[in-house]
Amino acid sequence: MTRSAHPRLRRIYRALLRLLPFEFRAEFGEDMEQAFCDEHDDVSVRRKRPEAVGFWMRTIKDFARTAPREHWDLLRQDVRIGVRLLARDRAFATAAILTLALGIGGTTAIFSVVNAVVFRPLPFPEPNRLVEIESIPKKLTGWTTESLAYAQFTALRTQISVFDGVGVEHAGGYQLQDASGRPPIPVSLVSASLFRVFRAAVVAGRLLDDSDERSGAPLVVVISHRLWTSRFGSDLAIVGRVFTRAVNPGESRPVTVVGVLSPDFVFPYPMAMTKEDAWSPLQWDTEMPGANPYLTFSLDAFARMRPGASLTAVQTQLDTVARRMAATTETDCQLRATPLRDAVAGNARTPLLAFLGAVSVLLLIACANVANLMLARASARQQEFAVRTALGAGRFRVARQLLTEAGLLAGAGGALGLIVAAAGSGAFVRISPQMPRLQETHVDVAVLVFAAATVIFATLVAGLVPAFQCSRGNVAEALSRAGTSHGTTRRWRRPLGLLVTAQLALALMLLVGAGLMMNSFVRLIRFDLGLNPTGVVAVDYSHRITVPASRTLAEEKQRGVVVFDELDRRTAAFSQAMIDRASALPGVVRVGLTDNLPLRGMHSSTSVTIEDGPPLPRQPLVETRSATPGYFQALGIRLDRGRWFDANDREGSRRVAIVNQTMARRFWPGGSALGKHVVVNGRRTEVIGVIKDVYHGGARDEITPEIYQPYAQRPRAWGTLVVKGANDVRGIEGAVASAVRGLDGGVKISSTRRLEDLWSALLADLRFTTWLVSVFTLLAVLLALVGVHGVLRYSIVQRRRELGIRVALGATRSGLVALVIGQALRYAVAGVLVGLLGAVAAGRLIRSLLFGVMPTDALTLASVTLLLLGVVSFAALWPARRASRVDPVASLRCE
Amino acid sequence: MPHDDVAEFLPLSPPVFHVMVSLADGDRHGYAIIKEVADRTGGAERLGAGTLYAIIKRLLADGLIVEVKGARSIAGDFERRRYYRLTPLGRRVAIAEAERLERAVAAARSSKLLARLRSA
Repeated sequence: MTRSAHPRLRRIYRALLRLLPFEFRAEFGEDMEQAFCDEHDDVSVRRKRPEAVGFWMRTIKDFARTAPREHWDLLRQDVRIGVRLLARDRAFATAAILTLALGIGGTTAIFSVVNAVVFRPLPFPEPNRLVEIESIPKKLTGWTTESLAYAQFTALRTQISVFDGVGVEHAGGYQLQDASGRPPIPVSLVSASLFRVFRAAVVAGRLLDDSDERSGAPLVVVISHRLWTSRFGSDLAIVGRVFTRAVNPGESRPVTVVGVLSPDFVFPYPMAMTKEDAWSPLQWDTEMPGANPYLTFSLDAFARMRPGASLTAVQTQLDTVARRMAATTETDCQLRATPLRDAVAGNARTPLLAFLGAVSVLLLIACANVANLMLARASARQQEFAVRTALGAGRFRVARQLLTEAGLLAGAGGALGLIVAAAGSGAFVRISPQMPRLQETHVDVAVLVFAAATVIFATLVAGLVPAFQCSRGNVAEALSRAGTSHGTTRRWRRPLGLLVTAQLALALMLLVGAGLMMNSFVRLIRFDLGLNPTGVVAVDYSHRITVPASRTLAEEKQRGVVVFDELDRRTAAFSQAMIDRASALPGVVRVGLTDNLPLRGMHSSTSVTIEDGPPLPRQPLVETRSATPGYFQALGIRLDRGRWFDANDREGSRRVAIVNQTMARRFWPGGSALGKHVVVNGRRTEVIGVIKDVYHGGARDEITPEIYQPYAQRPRAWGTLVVKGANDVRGIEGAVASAVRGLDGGVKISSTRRLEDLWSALLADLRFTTWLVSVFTLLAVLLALVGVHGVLRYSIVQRRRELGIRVALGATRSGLVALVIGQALRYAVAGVLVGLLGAVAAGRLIRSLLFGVMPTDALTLASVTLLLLGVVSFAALWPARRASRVDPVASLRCE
Repeated sequence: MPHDDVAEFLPLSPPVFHVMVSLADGDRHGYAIIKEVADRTGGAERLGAGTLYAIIKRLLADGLIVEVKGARSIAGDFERRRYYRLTPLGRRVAIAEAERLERAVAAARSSKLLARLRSA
């Protein structure tokens, strides 16, 4: 057989040979090539096409079978060697596995929460096509987003082609009365299309349909599965049962149950806080006869996009609709669609992603620590590596071995980390403040995949640097220096130093984050809300006075003073009696009444007309409250100008009101608001006082224009008693509640609470975020310090000889200590510089979590820098002291 | 002849057995083994070079074959081919496997399974 004259074929075959592991190729590559050429010669002699094709097919199949098997063989070998080596060095292995378990477990735990709240699709069919639609008023209402007016809903239904359906819900509906005397069932009003949008299904009866929305159609209701099982015992006869709804005092209409929803329909999703269990169709003309559809109602709108429609297309159409409405009607708003999943995650998104970022940094530091440990260990094995390389093992073999070791450590760390993750995510769910979908956190496929990816990532980060470093070694140099420990140290110190610097930089970034958040939190706590919640208790009540109401508006307009009907008079009298009773209780300093308690984040707004001020494009919405004079004093609200309500502000006198500074500045700029008039609910009211702004929704809420009317002129059948107590207010809620109940059997106390608790709850999210980030930061700093400590110790051991020489030449103990600490500080300073750059760059991401501080707050940056430098110096003390005690004779001798 | 050390290698997979059989007649190099195995089995067992050398690697590691140094091809060309030879242990193992296979076929013949099996 002659040599085949096809060098190109040989090149191709040689390229294929590269698929095989190095050792196998080195051993048998030539022979394989030879056999290939021989067979090719045989085949080409016979010159048959199918044979040639078959030949190539066989060659390729041969490689497809052999290459994976040989690689797998090598891997098994590496794993066996790795396990043996690690078992011998148990201290190292334990430290590394625990560190990685912490990093991988922590990251996976947070990811499982983030997955549940932010990433996982909602449990509806084709959930990615669901959007929520909000209205953004362009001018002068003070709110950033609003729910939709009925006219907007109609426009969406008819004018948007990319929607498969639009549905709305009005949460405030009516109470369904049950003849059996059990508590009434709250019913929300929805459009029939809402069920279609969410693809709801029924287990009995039918869903609402469009014909139920016609005015005059019989009233029907659909109930939830939960209500059906808990209250009606899963009785199928519920369909067709008739309940009643009170329409006017003394008048009620029948409502028929027409369907029971399937258990997987949970709406509104996922707020378990509002338990909605029954839905009736929104009959516009019946519910709000004569109302202006452009100003009412407050509808939450949801839509399903057509398949293939993009969010941009939807937004474009919404913009068109909004423009059209602005041009032809009085509604000037922008309409915005948000994917429902993001709308549900809401405010939880940023802090959760911040946690994920922080814990990932922790993971990086943990991996760097393990890399450090491996490097230190590997440097002790460099003779072994050099020998193996000299014997033909190849550089990559050594690198593979180290990567395999890193993989074993990461795998073990990952397995342990899953346990950490399960425990950690469970703990997180328990201690975290309310977040949408938080209860859905569990370990599923996505979480496992993430954990696996983290293990691979950790393997690479921890293993690549040592693998690279070891395989780069100069064999001759390593062998010649066998037994000595100097000369090669510099080569090892560089990567070790880099790792430590990286760890310190990451730790600094976390420190900056934690510092900024703590700063924010302190500012939040100290913020002047405009009211003082300490020692104040709120008791919610409602009572029914069964006296018919009558119209008084016309008479009031004519006489120009407050006119009461019998209902108003009785209510006002009752309210006063309540206040008197409560004031008489021991320990009570002040009592007030309001119909809209602050610090609950809820708004109640009315459209008003402003007189005596510059013209406005539309009627603004302002927040309205009824309040007694005692209310302001009980809460410590301060007056800016004018006067408080007094005993003269009652029935038969002119209607008066107090506004806040925001309202005064906005509607009557450049002058005093006192003496100006506002028309509220059709009644002309004079402004007699201006209070300093109050942050009703907490420090981060925006201030909206507010108007307060005296309870004595606008009595309400429900409200909140605000009671300021002298000392410890613990017992007062109960005393107030029973005092009030004693007045009239028809009074219901719905809840009592302390204002301080409400305020604390508003801060709960930021408190939790700050706390958790601080915990991660502390762990990260500790890990980084362990890394610094380890590297310094290693360095000192390696530099024993040099240190001994220094001592012999007259260096003092403190000089040596300074030398070591100086080395540590060099790492620290480098790390700080890089970390500061990183912190400044990443600061923008957490801006929404901060309050009152900029992400580049100089004071915070400076103080955490000093803190880190100080801590590093402290951590360097112990190795430095050991270094200073080096015995020059012993160190020089031991070679 | 001690058969204990042999038993741990059995059963051999068919490709391994055929490689050892082809070495029974004398030293061979890679492609020669491939050709001989293909001829003997009538094209049923066509070893690729990778498969063959993976087998050779294992047989070398187990001590069933050795490399023969300094051999030349019969045609007298100047390529450096590596030749392999069965070790005594290897020969014993191959024989043991052949006997095992024969016993298995005999058992099949004695039952109604192979009524018309032609002897080799």
